[in-house]
Amino acid sequence: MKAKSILVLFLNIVILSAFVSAGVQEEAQAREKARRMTRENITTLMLIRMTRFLELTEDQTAKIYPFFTRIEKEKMQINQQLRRQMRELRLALSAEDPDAEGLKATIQAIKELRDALKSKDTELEKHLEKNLTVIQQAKYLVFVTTFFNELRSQLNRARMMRERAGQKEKK
Amino acid sequence: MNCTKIEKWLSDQIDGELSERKTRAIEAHLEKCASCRSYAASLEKIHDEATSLERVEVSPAFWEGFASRLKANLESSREERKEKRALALSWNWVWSGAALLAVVAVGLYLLLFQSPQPQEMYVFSLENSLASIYQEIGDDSELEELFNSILVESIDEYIGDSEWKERPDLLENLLLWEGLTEEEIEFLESEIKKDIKS
Repeated sequence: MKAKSILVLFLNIVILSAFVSAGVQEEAQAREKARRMTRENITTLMLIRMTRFLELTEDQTAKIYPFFTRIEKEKMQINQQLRRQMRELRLALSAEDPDAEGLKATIQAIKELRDALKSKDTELEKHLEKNLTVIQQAKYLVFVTTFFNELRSQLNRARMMRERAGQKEKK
Repeated sequence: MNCTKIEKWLSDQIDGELSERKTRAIEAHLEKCASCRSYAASLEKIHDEATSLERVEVSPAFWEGFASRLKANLESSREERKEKRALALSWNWVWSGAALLAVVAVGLYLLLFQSPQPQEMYVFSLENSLASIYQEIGDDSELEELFNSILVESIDEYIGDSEWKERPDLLENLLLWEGLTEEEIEFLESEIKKDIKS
């Protein structure tokens, strides 16, 4: 009887932890999906705005868009790996006695991924330099700065919208 | 003959200090020059009036202590001048102080009450800029959702634009470029080039 109740308790714990873990995994997947969507939307908006701001010709668009999207795809994959490595790093650090060798390997992997991201940016810049006129290159620098500042203000707008919605709910 | 020289000689003539040669030269000049004639007449008139003045007799007592009175008067007028200068200087200080206060007040107003200009961030790496935005969002899924809806709204605004409607080939499936292989992209590129040429 005693053994049976222990078994039932054990099974309950296993089932519960499976549910919890599935929930956590689902949440992480949803977050990953939301991040991917944000990135895709930012890229789309950036391409549309860039085409206008730089007054790209169709020929230039045909050369730049595919390259841009390919680089973006590669960067997304690198970012995914980077997030995974960062998660591992946090887990390793939270352990009572972190494994130094394991930490070293994770640090190295993160550094390499970070460098890979930088090189993707450089690759994109070089491609743009090759396909844009000097004026368009200059415009691009101005555009990128303006675009990211605008993104920031849109993020602030989202915050304000939420605050306002919260205030309405309180009323 | 120079009129200025004649005027000087005329003055010397009245004082009785002019040579005969110069006197003759003056007479010859006056015959020709009306302006010097008028000057000579007015000089003579002044001289005559001055000599006709009565001589004022001053008592010897007046001269006694004259020097000390003169000294005292000079000193008092000097003091007066000093006071006036000091007053003028103090007003200068007042004006300088007022100007300084005004400058400080304007500076404080600009510093405290003017709305701060938003600082522009210069982007030199796309990835870093995106990372900073994601960092701001953090794990706040609600904020990310709202941010996404604003982004979609902005995209819709551009897509709804007539200029974009004229170019649906670039507009549609913008991110489906991702799914294409290098060969497919190259093929599309060559096709677009052909299209442009034709």
